[in-house]
Amino acid sequence: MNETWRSWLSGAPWLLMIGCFFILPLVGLVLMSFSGEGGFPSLENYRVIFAEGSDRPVVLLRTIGTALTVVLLSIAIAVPAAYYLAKCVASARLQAAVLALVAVTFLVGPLIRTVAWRGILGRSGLVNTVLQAVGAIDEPIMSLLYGRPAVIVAMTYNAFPFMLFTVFLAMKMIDDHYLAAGRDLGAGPATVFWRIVLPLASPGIWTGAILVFVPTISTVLEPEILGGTSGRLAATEIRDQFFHALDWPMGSTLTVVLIVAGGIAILALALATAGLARLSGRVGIAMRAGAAR
Amino acid sequence: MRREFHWFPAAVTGLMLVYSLLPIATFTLFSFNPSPFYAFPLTGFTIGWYEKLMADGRIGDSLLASVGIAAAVMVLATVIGTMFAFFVVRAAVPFKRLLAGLGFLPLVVPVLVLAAGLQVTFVEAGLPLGFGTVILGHVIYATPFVTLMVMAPLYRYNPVLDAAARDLGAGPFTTLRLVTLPILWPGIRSGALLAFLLSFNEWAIAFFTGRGVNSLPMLIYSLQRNGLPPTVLAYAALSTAVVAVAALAVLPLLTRLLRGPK
Repeated sequence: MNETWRSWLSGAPWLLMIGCFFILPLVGLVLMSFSGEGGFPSLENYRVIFAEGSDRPVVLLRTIGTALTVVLLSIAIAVPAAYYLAKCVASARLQAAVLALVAVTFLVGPLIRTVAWRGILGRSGLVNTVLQAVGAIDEPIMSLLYGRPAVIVAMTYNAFPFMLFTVFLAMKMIDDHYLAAGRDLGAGPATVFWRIVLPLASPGIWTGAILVFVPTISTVLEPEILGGTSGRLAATEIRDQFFHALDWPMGSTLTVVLIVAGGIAILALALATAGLARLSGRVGIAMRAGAAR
Repeated sequence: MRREFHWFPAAVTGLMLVYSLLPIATFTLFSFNPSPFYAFPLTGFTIGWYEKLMADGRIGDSLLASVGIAAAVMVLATVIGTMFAFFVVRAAVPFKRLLAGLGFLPLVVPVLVLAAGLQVTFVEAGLPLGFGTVILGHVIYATPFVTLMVMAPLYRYNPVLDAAARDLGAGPFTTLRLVTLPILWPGIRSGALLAFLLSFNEWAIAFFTGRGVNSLPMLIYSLQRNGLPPTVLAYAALSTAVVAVAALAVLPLLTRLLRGPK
């Protein structure tokens, strides 16, 4: 058995599975989205979604906006934490312990992680009880649970570990000598972070952003369990088309529109960051060119 | 290098740990509370909900279903994912980058989309929705994660070892069994654990492709709709404990990895 044969043999099972149960279903969804009342092919469903007076575009924008908020919050939590763990803590045991702790809570699963927030944000939940006990409020705050903030808190909770793990790995791979050199040349800790660490870790932040964004635009649990009557999100509508309205072509169309909109949002974000990077001077790129030499 | 203390990232890390642990601590606390509501006040201490959990036949059945599905997914995803890691790292075939990229596509496509697409495909193909379809869906979902876990040690793997084994007279299969796989084993084991847990907790694919399959997430999903009985909290606390024990088992490995080759 020669080398080429073995190569194909190792890849074949997964590539075949991907072809049959991943590519094919996606193609099936796209095809189904084009079948409407007038037979196939028809743009009927797309026309309905973007018709005047339809609230679908608003739902779509709300979904994308929510997911981008979750990505930004995840960056705000994970980037400082990853920096602290990867570059400020010397003990590998401490690094491993913190990461393992986050991983354990993460692997409890999104369903339980979401339901858990009811006991914290509810009318007689942890937050209200503590605030009342210290006398900060007289009446419990009702709006904590069953609204957009609760949904975003839980979505961020369920997705930020992806950001933490990828950014930690990216920062761990940055050579400590770069940081030391920056300090020797007179840069303060903040300058070192903004002009050395952040540019070099940006691929990790990007991977994290995508890994956070993707599940967040498609989750139905958080809005359903914590969302109350706050505005509907696209994933819930897709689920309802498949299970309640039993309109599979419409469900497929909504799915295709969601993927396309998500792709556009990611692209826009990429362009915006590239613009920002250009404005702030190409420090990161210059760094790497220097490292290659 | 001299390590400096930075108060801002340290504070964020502390807050992150509080954020991570608070919900877990809260439901664990309430799983010992006699009141049937997941809310204050705490009225005492009881292990009654745990007893009720053990006595509840539905939970036992669901646990069995979930463990069965997760075990099957773990075996399939680990074998297929490990093989694909070899393909990604070692294969030299035309269009390899494209094919390797294709293999990781499930990571960037929302689970809901995969679930809906699989449901449409299974129904159109006339496959009955049940355990088989859920397992298939979960394998698609979990395998890329296994591949990622195995790729890391495979990239660090020194191919000289294989050559040495060959020189000593081992065939390709013996080399794989006695040299390569044992060295990759920590990565494979972590990947298998991850695949098991991902499948065990997965809800959307089971919801779309598993008619009549009452896995634990499905049961908890239906239980929480009418008021969340504390038995669910007891289950949540127990499963957290199980995951924590599993994590303790891989902690020394993680520490060694982070310490690096120095």
